Amino acid sequence: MSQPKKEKIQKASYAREVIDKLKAHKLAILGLCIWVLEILIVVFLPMIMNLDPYVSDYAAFDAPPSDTHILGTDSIGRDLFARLIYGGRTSLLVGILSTMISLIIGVPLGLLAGYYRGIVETVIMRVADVFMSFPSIVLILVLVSVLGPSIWSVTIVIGVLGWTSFARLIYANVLSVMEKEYVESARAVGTSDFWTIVKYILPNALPPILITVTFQTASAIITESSLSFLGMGVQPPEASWGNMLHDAQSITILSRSPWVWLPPGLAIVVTVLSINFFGDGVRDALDPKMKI
Amino acid sequence: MKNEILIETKQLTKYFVGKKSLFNLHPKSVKAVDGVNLKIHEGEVLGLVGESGCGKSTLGRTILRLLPATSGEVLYRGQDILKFDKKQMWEMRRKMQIIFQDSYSSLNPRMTVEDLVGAPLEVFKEGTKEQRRERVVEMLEEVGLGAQHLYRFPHEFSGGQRQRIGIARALILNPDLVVCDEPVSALDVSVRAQVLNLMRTLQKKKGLTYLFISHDLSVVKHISDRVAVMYLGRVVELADRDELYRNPLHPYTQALLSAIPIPDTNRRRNRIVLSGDVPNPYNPPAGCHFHLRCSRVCESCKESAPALREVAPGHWVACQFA
Repeated sequence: MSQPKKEKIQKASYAREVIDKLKAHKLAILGLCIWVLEILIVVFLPMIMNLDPYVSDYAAFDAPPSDTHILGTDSIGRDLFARLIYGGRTSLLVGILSTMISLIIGVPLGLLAGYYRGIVETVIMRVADVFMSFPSIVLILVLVSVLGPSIWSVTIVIGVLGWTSFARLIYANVLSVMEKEYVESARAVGTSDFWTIVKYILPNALPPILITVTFQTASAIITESSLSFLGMGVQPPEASWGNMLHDAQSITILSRSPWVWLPPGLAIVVTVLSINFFGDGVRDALDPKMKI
Repeated sequence: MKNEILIETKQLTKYFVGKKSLFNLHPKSVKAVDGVNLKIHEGEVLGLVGESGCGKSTLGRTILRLLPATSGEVLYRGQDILKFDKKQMWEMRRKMQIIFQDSYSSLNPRMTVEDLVGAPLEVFKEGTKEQRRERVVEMLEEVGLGAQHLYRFPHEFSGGQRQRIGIARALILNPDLVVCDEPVSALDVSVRAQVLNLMRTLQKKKGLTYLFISHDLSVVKHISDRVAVMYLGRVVELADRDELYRNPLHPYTQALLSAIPIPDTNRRRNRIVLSGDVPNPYNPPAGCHFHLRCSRVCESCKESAPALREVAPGHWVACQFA
């Protein structure tokens, strides 16, 4: 064995390896690209193009796609392309932000419950059970109507009610990780509770959560859509993909004007799918045992 | 043994009590360690043998306070560490380490070798990051690995190499006592000898004290200075290695030793086959725990448990016939 010079040994960094593995996952990269593209379009397109989602074109009600309105107009003459872009802003914002809220509440609570057990576990997990025993859409409807429907109330309510799935998953993972001897080894060398959780338990309990993060983002977008569809979410004239579908409730529009509901519906499907593909890839890439 | 006593346990017990509930008001407890008195001298290797479930691993973990003891004392150079507060105990961790049996599960799969072996240094904030890395490389070289392994993850190593990483982690702080919890029983035979010899070499070089737990009598014979035999939570015999293997006095030890295979077809010998199973630890027999399976059982064995007594210098047996 040749003796390599100590300073010559290159650190094959973990991040590098994760990126390489992610690159090999074609669907994940496709999902990521679509997602990033979507965000870029939604954020920057209104700055470049002159889009107004609120103004009515009195010359064109219910107009099919044409040169002036690429995706046509709705029943009161608003440009559907502009509404699709602005609606994307709201839907993506609600999806991402509410998942963040769930994550911030759920992960620490799940960790505490799994690590300390006993009374902490009982309190946290039983509260989670109570939360889960309510039919969520009804509870969300009630809370949103109490807070008054708006983007922010919808985001907060979806986010706060979503913590249980993260808490339960993390909790279950922590329980299984705690059985591993490396947790005992951390105690044997005198690692504090805090560092044991951060360096030994969290990294081993978190990756399966990533897939849930993506699912949760997707489902938050859908929940926001359903709320808006029911008229309890984002309020007109503000646009979201959900309330664009809401506008298409009547059978005449459904059958005669597919340009009203097809684009927002497709946008939801494509977004949700691409997020899920990406999450799947990230989970695999983060596992050091997983070979490309 | 002329050396000072490093660790002494006095009537150390560890019961695992079942969960108390509405339907189970008086849960039964398993007496995994049942009044163990042991002295471990500085610089020696004390082998601890016994069959599965006899409490040897529990004893090791209780001595390290990885499991809370039910009663008794663990004296480290005369101080009872079971009475230590959190801060004192943290300081003690520097002096007592453990090598685990399963090197798959005892190494965090998401840490590199540098972080794994350096973890004790980091916990005790020894030196700068550079100094710690150098120390890790030195330690890796001592266990037969090298700097080229620093940034690898545990799953990239073979079982023997992983156990070397575990040894490096346990020894990097130069502890006094290392509890080796079946460190080689998960390894295959060819690697086992290498790891054992490495452990013995390091022990001699650094003057370490091992509590070497194993169910493998030949492994224990190879590495130990003295050997203690455990049966159902109690130490039944304790002697110098050669004395114990030449002249076992407890019927259980005799049965154990007769089970070691001898690679010689011409030699016949009396194999003592024990009847029955190990009694259920939830409900151990009264008196001597071994009396149900003992060939020399008499009435008094069923009533009172014999204490360890010194029958020859350094040879302790818990049997009234010895």
